[in-house]
Amino acid sequence: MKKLLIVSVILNFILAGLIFAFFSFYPENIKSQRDKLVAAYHDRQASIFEVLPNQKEEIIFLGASLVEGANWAEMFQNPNITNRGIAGDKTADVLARLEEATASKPKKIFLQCGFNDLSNDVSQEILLANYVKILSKISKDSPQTLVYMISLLPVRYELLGEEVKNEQIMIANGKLKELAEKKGVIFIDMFSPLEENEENHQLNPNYTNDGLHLTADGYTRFKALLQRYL
Amino acid sequence: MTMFGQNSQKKLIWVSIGLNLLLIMILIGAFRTYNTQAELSTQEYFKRYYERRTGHFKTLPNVGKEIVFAGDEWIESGAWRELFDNPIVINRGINRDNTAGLLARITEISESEPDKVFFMVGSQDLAEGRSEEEIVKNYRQIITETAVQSPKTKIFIHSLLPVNKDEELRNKENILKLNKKLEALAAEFNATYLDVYTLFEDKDKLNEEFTNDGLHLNGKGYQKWKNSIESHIQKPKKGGVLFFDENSDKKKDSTLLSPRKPKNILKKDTITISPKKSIEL
Repeated sequence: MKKLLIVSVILNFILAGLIFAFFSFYPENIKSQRDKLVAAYHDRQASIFEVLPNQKEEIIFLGASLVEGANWAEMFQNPNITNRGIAGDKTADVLARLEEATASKPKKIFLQCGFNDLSNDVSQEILLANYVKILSKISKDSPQTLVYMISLLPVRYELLGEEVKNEQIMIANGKLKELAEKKGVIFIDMFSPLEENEENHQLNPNYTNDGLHLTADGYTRFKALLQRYL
Repeated sequence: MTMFGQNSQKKLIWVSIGLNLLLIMILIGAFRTYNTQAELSTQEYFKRYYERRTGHFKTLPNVGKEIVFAGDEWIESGAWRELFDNPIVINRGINRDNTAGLLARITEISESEPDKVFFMVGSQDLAEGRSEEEIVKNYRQIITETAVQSPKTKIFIHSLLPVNKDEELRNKENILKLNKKLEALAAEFNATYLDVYTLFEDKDKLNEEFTNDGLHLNGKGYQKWKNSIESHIQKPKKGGVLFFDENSDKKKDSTLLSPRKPKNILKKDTITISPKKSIEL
């Protein structure tokens, strides 16, 4: 009787411990699994870009999922446009594969990345420092290339959650704009045209279905805003 | 333990055992909830991704006589237009799409009356547990719709690739069985069957040289794939300069740059397209 009680009480503690451990580690585990998938995806896509032939007069769209999500060449009916977006890429990832982009000595690069830095707790300072590195590398490796920096877009909390605040995004945009001015690069503000209104700074619900990425309408608006730079 | 009598010891045992059962239930419940949630959010993510991609495809201009690569993520990841250095090649791949998803959007592909369509789809169907019969039924409908809407379009059907990963449903046996059916289906429609299974197979598995996850291909893989089908891809008539075929029998120039249907998604104030843009290329 006594033995049974002791065993059962020990089991109580073990199970309680297991539950505690589950809630402490499991969400983290899911996140690290996801990070691995994102990293593997990055490696594959980057290796695909490596085997693509360099074209003359290339106009490169460079960045993460927002860039990846549209068929720009078809959209603008311009075969010189290439897509170098990889979903999940942070500024450091773009920097790491920048050589592939500059190797063709492109005519223009449209650069849009940074959200994944914020969502992965990369600091504003590092985000900006990586942008500085990206710009310097482009002007060193391909001085003729015209760079266009596209701002980060607002997010919509009710669809995406509030892990990344629009205030953070606006701070990053402010720094990127400053950098663009300093480097004499054109900065294209996509935040204000795509926000619902000036008070709430939320991504317009007509332009998204997940609070982060653009739907067809969103890209149509995006295109209209970019048209004059192409 | 002298302070407890036999009776209170008994009570304690019951309480403790009851607590054990409760804790086990909580643990199982938490595990399940987390996994289901993760699964659901993945499904939801790709459902929305599909919506975005199909919506976007509908806004793209219909130029006609394209060479279309249509299907799932193996198609989507291949930058085919650049791989073939051919401006009339377009990509209609959607990550995790299945035969039902492709069937639901086939009109967007067939209505421009493409010159050729290269299909690859079915892997996700297997992963989701869709039966072979249903996959083939959907596939047959995809091809039928294409052939009815655009009789001149040449159709190519890719086999599924081998895998190098343990999955319950998307395994070697099921893939090979499905590939057999796809080959028969191609014969039925006088379409060309492209066996990329054999191309990438190494001892019944996806050759490790071409993958980093046992499922998807790297750059080397796409290059190999491209070389194996290149003979089916012709260069556009105008030396690859024009995006579209200027001599197309249909007079499409006026509509070239406007999306195929003035659907409500296009607000007037957002269209600032100059029709000269494509000519100056």
